[in-house]
Amino acid sequence: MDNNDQILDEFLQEVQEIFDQLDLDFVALEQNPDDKKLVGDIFRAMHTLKGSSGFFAFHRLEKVAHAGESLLSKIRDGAFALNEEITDALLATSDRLREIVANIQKQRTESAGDDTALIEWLKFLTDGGKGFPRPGKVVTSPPPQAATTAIEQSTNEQEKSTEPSISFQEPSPLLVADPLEVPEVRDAAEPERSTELAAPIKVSVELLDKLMNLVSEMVLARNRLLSFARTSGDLTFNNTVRRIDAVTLELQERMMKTRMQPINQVWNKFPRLVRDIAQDTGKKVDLIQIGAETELDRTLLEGIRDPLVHIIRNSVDHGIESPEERVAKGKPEQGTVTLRSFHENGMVVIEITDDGAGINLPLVARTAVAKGLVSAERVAKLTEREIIDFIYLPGFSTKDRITNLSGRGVGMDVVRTNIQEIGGNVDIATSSQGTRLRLSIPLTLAIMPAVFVRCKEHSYAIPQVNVFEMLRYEPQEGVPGVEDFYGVRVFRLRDKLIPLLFLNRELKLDNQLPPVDQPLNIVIVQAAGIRFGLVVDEVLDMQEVVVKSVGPLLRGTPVYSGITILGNGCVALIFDVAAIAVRSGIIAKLADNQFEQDISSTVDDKTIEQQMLLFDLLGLERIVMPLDAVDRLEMITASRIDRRGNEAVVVYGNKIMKLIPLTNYVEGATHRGLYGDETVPVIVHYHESQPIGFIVKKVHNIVSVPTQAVMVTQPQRGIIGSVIVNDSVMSILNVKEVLSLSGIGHFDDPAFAPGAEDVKGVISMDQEMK
Amino acid sequence: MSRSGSYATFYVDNFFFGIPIAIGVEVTKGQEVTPVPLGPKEVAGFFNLRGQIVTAIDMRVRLGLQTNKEQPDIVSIFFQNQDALFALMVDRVGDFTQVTEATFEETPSNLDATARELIVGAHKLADKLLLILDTHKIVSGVKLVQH
Repeated sequence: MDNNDQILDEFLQEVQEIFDQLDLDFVALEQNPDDKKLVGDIFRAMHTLKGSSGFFAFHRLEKVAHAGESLLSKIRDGAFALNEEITDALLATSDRLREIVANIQKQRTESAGDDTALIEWLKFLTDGGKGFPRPGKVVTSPPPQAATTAIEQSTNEQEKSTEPSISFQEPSPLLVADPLEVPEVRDAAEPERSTELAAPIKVSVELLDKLMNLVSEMVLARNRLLSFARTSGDLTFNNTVRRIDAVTLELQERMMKTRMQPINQVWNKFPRLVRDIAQDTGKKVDLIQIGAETELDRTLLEGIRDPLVHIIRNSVDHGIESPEERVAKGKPEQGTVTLRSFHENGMVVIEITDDGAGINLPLVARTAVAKGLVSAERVAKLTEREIIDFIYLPGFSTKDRITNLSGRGVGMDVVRTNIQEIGGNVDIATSSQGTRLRLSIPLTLAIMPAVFVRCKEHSYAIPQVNVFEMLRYEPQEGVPGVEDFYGVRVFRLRDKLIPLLFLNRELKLDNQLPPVDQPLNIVIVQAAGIRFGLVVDEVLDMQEVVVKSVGPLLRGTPVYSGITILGNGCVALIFDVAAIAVRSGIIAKLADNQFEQDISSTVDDKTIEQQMLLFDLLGLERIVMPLDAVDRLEMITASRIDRRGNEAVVVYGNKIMKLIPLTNYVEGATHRGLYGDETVPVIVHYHESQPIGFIVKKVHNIVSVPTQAVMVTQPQRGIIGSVIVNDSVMSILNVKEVLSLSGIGHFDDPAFAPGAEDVKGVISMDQEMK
Repeated sequence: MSRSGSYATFYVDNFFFGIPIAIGVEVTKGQEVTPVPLGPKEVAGFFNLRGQIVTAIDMRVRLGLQTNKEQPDIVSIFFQNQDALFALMVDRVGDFTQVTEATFEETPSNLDATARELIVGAHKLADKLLLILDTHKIVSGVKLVQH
């Protein structure tokens, strides 16, 4: 019961915030009736309110909010503009909602009441009507306080008749006539409210960050003070320092604690939510929660609450099929929604998996065409991922029928907006076996335990979640330990061979490999399902670290998941163990349970696919080059092309662009005099900030090339290898070689490994070619 | 970008550079920079400035000049480029200088490509040229993927 009370309190607080925002938004909307964003905000607020009230089974609240939302959705879609009457109705709706909530706050349950008049009015307006007979005129009634004070069960009957009047008569003239009066209305209600709920103070993230930084600074100052106190003989001074030390320590601990909470805080609402939706839709759904104890920064927790509600509602309402359908498909009658949360690569990952029907991609594509978002011929060329992207657009819904649960096309855009606001991202994988949404939320604000190791003169942190064990290897006569496995050092750990990575080599600090018989400090780590040993110079200690972002310049260096400030004020980099494993090439695939594999295989295919541009050359068709190497596509009229010695150049912006006819450098293509009066397609590639134009015959489109399908063919000039996409063979252009042959680039130019981080297959093969 | 105003100045190699102090400049010295193995070569490393992580950019590398083994000064420039802080590692820090529009001269067109990207123009001072750097370009032009 306590738990429910707490949830209700949270709900009431949330609703109060929504109302406060709504008031401001309405006033702003009156002044800028054309502000689409504002309408969207109000709409979303209403939607959230409806969703939350559905969860508590506050039916009046839900119905009124639903009616208001319907009207707002018309305005949002531009079906008609805001006029005075609609504003009146919306304000009345807002007031009615507020009033119902005020009652809930006192009675802890929804009081009875009749909202039909208001709902009728809203429906009337939603259908495009004008001039609805105002209920305000009909009823003469007591002032609003009467409704909120009359809470006895026995007076409910009477209330029914009086209630509708209040919201119509009272706010309409007041709010519409003079929007500036609105805050007063709210203020009047405030004192009464505050006696009911002692709302905790909201502190902005920036302030918390600032405080956090100040505390770290204080710790550093204390450290200096401590070392000073050691050399000082003054007893009073030393005692004071000791006191400061103790207080600082506690301050630091408390500061960190204020931020972390288990994700369970949000999750514990969901069993009920799932049950209710399942019941409403006549489905059988089981909710499984894994990793509910995963701790998350509180500010982040708040950020994921609404998105999770939306996602779960979608999963149950849209995803899971009806029991009959499931049985027919050979699935268990009862559907399963799984929530899983864990730390991975310095991110908190929350996965919401259902074993339902999956997203109907053809339907999404058709809807996108029907809504005029994309042309029919274009949509046929889109990748699955691009089609999925449509569902993030505001107002996109494939449901022709609007239920009060979902189908309005609110949802995924809200989910993505909210998650992106806290710096995370959303990934969807879908198949007929189900859908998995993966929310990755960065640990920018989070704190985690990490093991510090030293390599050469610097120390690095390894997230403790990745650390399996730490050991010191002392070679002994006759006992096998570190061995040479044909050039790869392996370690025999309890009779299993574990590959070793030498940190100094992985980080390219030097290339030394210690002799086999030398003692080693090995940190056994685990990432993406495989275990390997990281050989370090020294294992230092374990510390709780505050993870900070590495900033924009390390985006191309995925070896580090974050950075942290040490006690002495220096900074240390935090490894992304999985990225190190990937980099070193020892990554293997994670074998999880069957269902997971079904979905993850589709996901994995995506992540190791590379986007390539497909084009033709004369006499040689279907050539691709990495999209990263493509900066622009241009059509250049032959008459604009100048000859400069042997080179063909064209004025491009304020620069001179050298043109390279690819046919001259790629074996198998037909040479031809370049210039006629036609325009030639040119792929612009920037090499050391100079534009280079590759002349091709025809540019097609962008294709996703699975890198594992790359095959090395016989070396052919200008071509790295071939790849099979949709049953046709494509040749991959060797950009590097072409540039080199045309006298521009060098083979070893580091700038010429576009997308190297993403595409192991191509790159390793590329290296073989050299 | 307004051409007149106050500039924080510093030396890299034989060149005299300035960045507008309007973006918030602070000069710090003797920071211990933690290097980033495998990171972009322009990034000298990171250091902590009052609890915030600062990315230090080695201006010699960034400008394509000869590297200097001596411990350089650090000029920290503060600007909110995606909420991150950056510092430029330079040879020596100069004074704050006030200049007017009148002394400004555009970049000559035969300037080296890297330099032209970074240098907006120059102010003709009595004894030398003050080369004005575009701080955003310094950061945004760093090649992220290196091998």
